[in-house]
Amino acid sequence: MDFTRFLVIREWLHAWRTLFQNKGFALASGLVDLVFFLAFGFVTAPVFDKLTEHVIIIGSLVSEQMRVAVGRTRPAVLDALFQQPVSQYTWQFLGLLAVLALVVFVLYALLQGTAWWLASSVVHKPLRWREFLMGFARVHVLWFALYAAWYCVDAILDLRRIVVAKALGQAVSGTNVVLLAVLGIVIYFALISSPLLSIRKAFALGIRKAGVLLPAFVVVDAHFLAGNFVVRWLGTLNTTVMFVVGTVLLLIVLAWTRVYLSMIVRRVA
Amino acid sequence: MKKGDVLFIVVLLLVILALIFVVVNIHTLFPTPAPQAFAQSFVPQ
Repeated sequence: MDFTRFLVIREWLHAWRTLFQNKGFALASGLVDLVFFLAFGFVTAPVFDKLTEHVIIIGSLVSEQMRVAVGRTRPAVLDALFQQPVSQYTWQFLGLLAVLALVVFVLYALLQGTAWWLASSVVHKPLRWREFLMGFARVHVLWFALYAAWYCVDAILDLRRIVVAKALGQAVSGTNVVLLAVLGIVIYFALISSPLLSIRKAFALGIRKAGVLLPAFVVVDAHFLAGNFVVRWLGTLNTTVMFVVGTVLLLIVLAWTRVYLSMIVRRVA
Repeated sequence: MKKGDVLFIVVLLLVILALIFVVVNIHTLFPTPAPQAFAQSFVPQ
C-alpha cells in the first residue's frame, strides 16, 4: 500500500525534507522560539508572582469572611470578592490579568508571528514581514481574547476552589473537561488561521476539511508525545542531557509543525 | 526600507518599552501589604 497517496503522510515527509534542506530557516525559527520562551519567562515571572500574592491575600480575606459568618448567612464567593476589604485586591487582580494579557499578546504576535512568517517563506512566497505580522496580530486578537476569557474563567474557578478548600479545611480537586475541550477547539482554529491570516477562511476550512486537518493535528500531537517520551527517558539517565536535548527537540518539532501545517492548509485551501 | 516600516518598528519599540516599564514597576503599581502586617491583621485585638 502506497501511504504517500495520503496528503497527511505525503506532506509529513515533505515538511521534514524541507526542514533539513533549509537549515538557515530551521536555525532562525529555533532562535525566534528560544527568544520567545526566554522573554516570556523573564517578562511574565514578576506578573505571575504578583498574581500569586493577590490570590493568597484574596483567598485569606474571603475565607476569613466565610469563617466569621458562621451562624449567619454566608456571602456567595463572587459577591464577597467585590465587597470591602477584598474588592481593592480583586480589581488589582483583574488589572494584573490585563497587564499579563497585553504583555503576552505583544510577545506572541511579534515572535510567533515572525516564526510563522519564516515557515510561510519556505512553503510559498510570503507577504512582507510587517504585513504578515499585522495580519497575524489582527487574526490572533480574537483567539487571544477567547484564550484570555478561558484563562479568567479557569482562574476564577481556581480561586473559588482555594476559598472553598480553606473554608472546608480540606483539598478540593477536579479537572473541568468542558474547559479543556473549549481550549482544544480554540487552538485548532487558531493554528489553521495562522498561515491563512483569515478567521473566516479558518472556520470554513477547519469545518469543511476536518477530515484532513484533524488527522494532521493527530500527527503533530504524536510528534510532541514522542518527544515527551524521549525527554522523560533521557531524564532517567542525565538531567543536563535531558534539558539540552529536550530544548533542541522542542525547537525542531515546533519549526516542523509550522512548516507542516502551512503546507497542509495551503494544499486543502 | 519604507517609511511605513520605520514607523512600524518605532511604534513596536515604544510599546515594548512601555510594557517593560509596567513590568519593572509592578510592585509600585499593584501594591500589596507586607506578609507580616497582613498576618497581624488576622490576630484578634
